[in-house]
Amino acid sequence: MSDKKMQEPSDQSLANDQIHNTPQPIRRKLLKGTVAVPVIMTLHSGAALARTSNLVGAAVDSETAKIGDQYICAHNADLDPSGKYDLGDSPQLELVENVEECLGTLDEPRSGILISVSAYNSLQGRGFSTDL
Amino acid sequence: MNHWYSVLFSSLRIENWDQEYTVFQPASGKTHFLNAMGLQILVLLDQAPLTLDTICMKLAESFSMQANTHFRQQIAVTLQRYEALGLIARTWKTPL
Repeated sequence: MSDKKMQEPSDQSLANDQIHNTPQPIRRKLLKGTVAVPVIMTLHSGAALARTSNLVGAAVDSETAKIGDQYICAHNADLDPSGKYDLGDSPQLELVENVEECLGTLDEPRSGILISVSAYNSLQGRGFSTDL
Repeated sequence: MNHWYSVLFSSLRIENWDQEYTVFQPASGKTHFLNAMGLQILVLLDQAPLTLDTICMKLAESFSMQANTHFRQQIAVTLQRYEALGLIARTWKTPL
Protein backbone atom coordinates (compact mmCIF):
# COMPACT_ATOMS: atom_id res chain seq x y z
CA MET A 1 0.00 0.00 0.00
CA SER A 2 1.50 3.37 -0.95
CA ASP A 3 2.05 6.20 1.55
CA LYS A 4 -0.28 8.38 -0.43
CA LYS A 5 -2.97 5.80 -0.24
CA MET A 6 -2.49 5.37 3.51
CA GLN A 7 -2.84 9.09 4.10
CA GLU A 8 -6.05 9.41 2.18
CA PRO A 9 -9.00 8.53 4.30
CA SER A 10 -11.62 6.48 2.59
CA ASP A 11 -15.07 7.81 2.00
CA GLN A 12 -16.31 5.33 4.55
CA SER A 13 -13.93 6.54 7.27
CA LEU A 14 -14.81 10.13 6.46
CA ALA A 15 -18.44 9.29 6.85
CA ASN A 16 -17.73 7.58 10.18
CA ASP A 17 -15.75 10.59 11.39
CA GLN A 18 -18.61 12.86 10.49
CA ILE A 19 -21.02 10.65 12.34
CA HIS A 20 -18.82 10.60 15.47
CA ASN A 21 -18.16 14.33 15.30
CA THR A 22 -21.86 15.15 15.07
CA PRO A 23 -22.85 16.80 18.35
CA GLN A 24 -25.28 14.71 20.32
CA PRO A 25 -28.59 16.34 20.94
CA ILE A 26 -28.78 17.86 24.39
CA ARG A 27 -31.39 15.40 25.58
CA ARG A 28 -29.23 12.42 24.68
CA LYS A 29 -26.23 13.96 26.42
CA LEU A 30 -28.26 14.59 29.54
CA LEU A 31 -29.66 11.10 29.66
CA LYS A 32 -26.51 9.24 28.70
CA GLY A 33 -24.07 11.35 30.67
CA THR A 34 -25.76 11.11 34.03
CA VAL A 35 -26.10 7.48 34.96
CA ALA A 36 -25.10 8.40 38.51
CA VAL A 37 -28.36 10.21 39.08
CA PRO A 38 -31.87 9.35 37.99
CA VAL A 39 -33.07 11.55 35.15
CA ILE A 40 -36.63 12.11 34.10
CA MET A 41 -38.00 14.49 31.52
CA THR A 42 -41.66 14.64 30.66
CA LEU A 43 -43.32 15.41 27.39
CA HIS A 44 -46.85 16.60 27.95
CA SER A 45 -49.47 15.37 25.59
CA GLY A 46 -50.34 18.01 23.03
CA ALA A 47 -53.79 16.57 22.69
CA ALA A 48 -54.35 16.82 26.42
CA LEU A 49 -53.28 20.46 26.43
CA ALA A 50 -55.55 21.20 23.51
CA ARG A 51 -58.48 19.72 25.38
CA THR A 52 -57.88 21.82 28.47
CA SER A 53 -57.53 25.20 26.89
CA ASN A 54 -59.39 27.17 24.32
CA LEU A 55 -57.37 30.29 23.72
CA VAL A 56 -58.84 33.05 21.61
CA GLY A 57 -58.24 36.71 21.09
CA ALA A 58 -60.97 39.25 21.58
CA ALA A 59 -62.49 40.57 18.38
CA VAL A 60 -60.65 43.66 17.20
CA ASP A 61 -63.97 45.38 16.53
CA SER A 62 -67.60 44.48 16.97
CA GLU A 63 -68.20 44.05 13.25
CA THR A 64 -65.89 41.01 13.08
CA ALA A 65 -67.97 39.39 15.85
CA LYS A 66 -71.22 39.84 14.02
CA ILE A 67 -73.35 37.02 12.71
CA GLY A 68 -76.38 38.51 11.01
CA ASP A 69 -77.63 41.17 13.39
CA GLN A 70 -76.15 39.56 16.49
CA TYR A 71 -72.76 39.39 18.15
CA ILE A 72 -70.83 36.35 19.40
CA CYS A 73 -70.17 36.71 23.08
CA ALA A 74 -67.92 34.41 25.15
CA HIS A 75 -68.38 34.25 28.92
CA ASN A 76 -66.02 33.31 31.73
CA ALA A 77 -62.96 34.26 29.74
CA ASP A 78 -59.76 34.37 31.75
CA LEU A 79 -57.05 36.63 30.43
CA ASP A 80 -53.89 34.63 29.77
CA PRO A 81 -50.46 36.21 30.41
CA SER A 82 -49.88 36.01 26.66
CA GLY A 83 -52.77 38.39 26.10
CA LYS A 84 -55.14 35.66 24.91
CA TYR A 85 -58.36 34.68 26.60
CA ASP A 86 -58.79 31.14 27.87
CA LEU A 87 -62.38 30.00 27.54
CA GLY A 88 -61.74 26.79 29.51
CA ASP A 89 -62.86 23.25 28.77
CA SER A 90 -66.41 24.14 27.85
CA PRO A 91 -66.65 27.58 26.31
CA GLN A 92 -69.90 29.37 27.07
CA LEU A 93 -71.00 31.31 24.03
CA GLU A 94 -74.15 33.16 23.25
CA LEU A 95 -75.47 35.55 20.63
CA VAL A 96 -76.44 38.95 21.93
CA GLU A 97 -78.38 41.74 20.32
CA ASN A 98 -76.20 44.53 21.69
CA VAL A 99 -72.50 44.75 22.43
CA GLU A 100 -73.34 46.08 25.90
CA GLU A 101 -75.03 42.79 26.78
CA CYS A 102 -71.66 41.14 26.50
CA LEU A 103 -69.16 43.79 27.49
CA GLY A 104 -71.38 45.94 29.64
CA THR A 105 -70.59 49.60 29.99
CA LEU A 106 -67.84 51.53 31.72
CA ASP A 107 -70.07 51.82 34.77
CA GLU A 108 -71.23 48.23 34.63
CA PRO A 109 -68.65 46.08 32.89
CA ARG A 110 -69.46 42.42 32.24
CA SER A 111 -67.18 39.42 32.12
CA GLY A 112 -67.83 38.58 28.48
CA ILE A 113 -65.72 39.28 25.44
CA LEU A 114 -66.67 39.53 21.80
CA ILE A 115 -64.95 36.95 19.63
CA SER A 116 -64.67 37.01 15.90
CA VAL A 117 -66.51 34.70 13.57
CA SER A 118 -63.13 33.16 12.70
CA ALA A 119 -62.41 32.43 16.35
CA TYR A 120 -65.88 30.97 16.72
CA ASN A 121 -65.28 28.67 13.77
CA SER A 122 -61.95 27.53 15.20
CA LEU A 123 -63.65 26.54 18.45
CA GLN A 124 -66.18 24.28 16.79
CA GLY A 125 -65.82 20.69 17.86
CA ARG A 126 -63.75 21.62 20.90
CA GLY A 127 -66.15 21.18 23.75
CA PHE A 128 -69.21 23.26 22.98
CA SER A 129 -72.30 23.08 20.91
CA THR A 130 -72.21 24.84 17.59
CA ASP A 131 -75.87 25.77 17.96
CA LEU A 132 -75.79 29.16 19.56
CA MET B 1 -41.08 5.38 57.70
CA ASN B 2 -43.09 5.54 54.49
CA HIS B 3 -42.86 2.95 51.78
CA TRP B 4 -42.96 3.82 48.11
CA TYR B 5 -44.70 1.68 45.52
CA SER B 6 -45.38 1.93 41.82
CA VAL B 7 -48.80 2.87 40.48
CA LEU B 8 -50.15 1.01 37.45
CA PHE B 9 -46.67 -0.02 36.37
CA SER B 10 -48.11 -2.69 34.09
CA SER B 11 -50.00 -0.05 32.13
CA LEU B 12 -46.82 1.81 31.21
CA ARG B 13 -45.48 1.41 27.70
CA ILE B 14 -41.72 1.23 28.02
CA GLU B 15 -39.27 1.25 25.14
CA ASN B 16 -35.51 0.84 25.43
CA TRP B 17 -33.45 3.15 23.23
CA ASP B 18 -29.88 2.06 23.94
CA GLN B 19 -30.11 2.47 27.71
CA GLU B 20 -32.44 5.45 27.42
CA TYR B 21 -36.09 4.77 27.98
CA THR B 22 -39.31 6.31 26.82
CA VAL B 23 -42.19 5.61 29.14
CA PHE B 24 -45.69 6.37 27.95
CA GLN B 25 -48.15 6.75 30.81
CA PRO B 26 -51.65 6.16 29.44
CA ALA B 27 -53.33 7.47 32.58
CA SER B 28 -51.93 10.96 32.04
CA GLY B 29 -51.18 10.86 28.33
CA LYS B 30 -47.62 11.92 29.10
CA THR B 31 -44.39 10.50 27.79
CA HIS B 32 -41.38 10.43 30.10
CA PHE B 33 -37.73 10.13 29.10
CA LEU B 34 -35.70 8.24 31.68
CA ASN B 35 -32.14 7.08 32.02
CA ALA B 36 -31.27 3.64 33.33
CA MET B 37 -31.36 4.64 36.98
CA GLY B 38 -34.63 6.48 36.55
CA LEU B 39 -36.25 3.36 35.17
CA GLN B 40 -34.60 1.12 37.73
CA ILE B 41 -36.42 2.97 40.49
CA LEU B 42 -39.77 2.23 38.88
CA VAL B 43 -38.84 -1.41 38.35
CA LEU B 44 -37.74 -1.82 41.96
CA LEU B 45 -40.94 -0.27 43.25
CA ASP B 46 -43.00 -2.53 41.03
CA GLN B 47 -41.41 -5.56 42.64
CA ALA B 48 -42.06 -4.48 46.21
CA PRO B 49 -42.84 -1.37 48.23
CA LEU B 50 -39.57 0.06 49.52
CA THR B 51 -38.32 2.76 51.84
CA LEU B 52 -36.04 5.52 50.62
CA ASP B 53 -33.07 3.93 52.36
CA THR B 54 -33.68 0.55 50.76
CA ILE B 55 -34.08 2.11 47.32
CA CYS B 56 -30.78 3.95 47.74
CA MET B 57 -29.05 0.79 48.88
CA LYS B 58 -30.31 -1.25 45.95
CA LEU B 59 -29.46 1.45 43.42
CA ALA B 60 -25.99 1.84 44.88
CA GLU B 61 -25.49 -1.90 44.47
CA SER B 62 -26.79 -1.98 40.93
CA PHE B 63 -24.78 1.00 39.74
CA SER B 64 -21.68 0.43 41.87
CA MET B 65 -22.01 3.70 43.72
CA GLN B 66 -21.79 5.04 47.23
CA ALA B 67 -25.13 5.84 48.80
CA ASN B 68 -24.00 9.05 50.48
CA THR B 69 -26.17 11.90 51.71
CA HIS B 70 -26.12 13.74 48.39
CA PHE B 71 -27.19 10.62 46.53
CA ARG B 72 -29.97 10.05 49.04
CA GLN B 73 -31.23 13.58 48.52
CA GLN B 74 -31.29 13.13 44.75
CA ILE B 75 -33.28 9.93 45.05
CA ALA B 76 -35.69 11.59 47.47
CA VAL B 77 -36.28 14.42 45.01
CA THR B 78 -36.81 11.93 42.20
CA LEU B 79 -39.36 10.01 44.25
CA GLN B 80 -41.28 13.19 44.91
CA ARG B 81 -41.20 14.00 41.20
CA TYR B 82 -42.50 10.52 40.34
CA GLU B 83 -45.20 10.91 42.95
CA ALA B 84 -46.29 14.23 41.45
CA LEU B 85 -46.47 12.57 38.04
CA GLY B 86 -48.60 9.73 39.42
CA LEU B 87 -46.02 7.08 38.67
CA ILE B 88 -45.57 6.08 42.30
CA ALA B 89 -47.28 6.61 45.63
CA ARG B 90 -46.35 6.19 49.25
CA THR B 91 -47.83 4.69 52.34
CA TRP B 92 -46.97 5.15 55.97
CA LYS B 93 -48.04 1.62 56.79
CA THR B 94 -45.77 -1.35 56.48
CA PRO B 95 -47.23 -3.30 53.56
CA LEU B 96 -48.46 -6.82 54.27
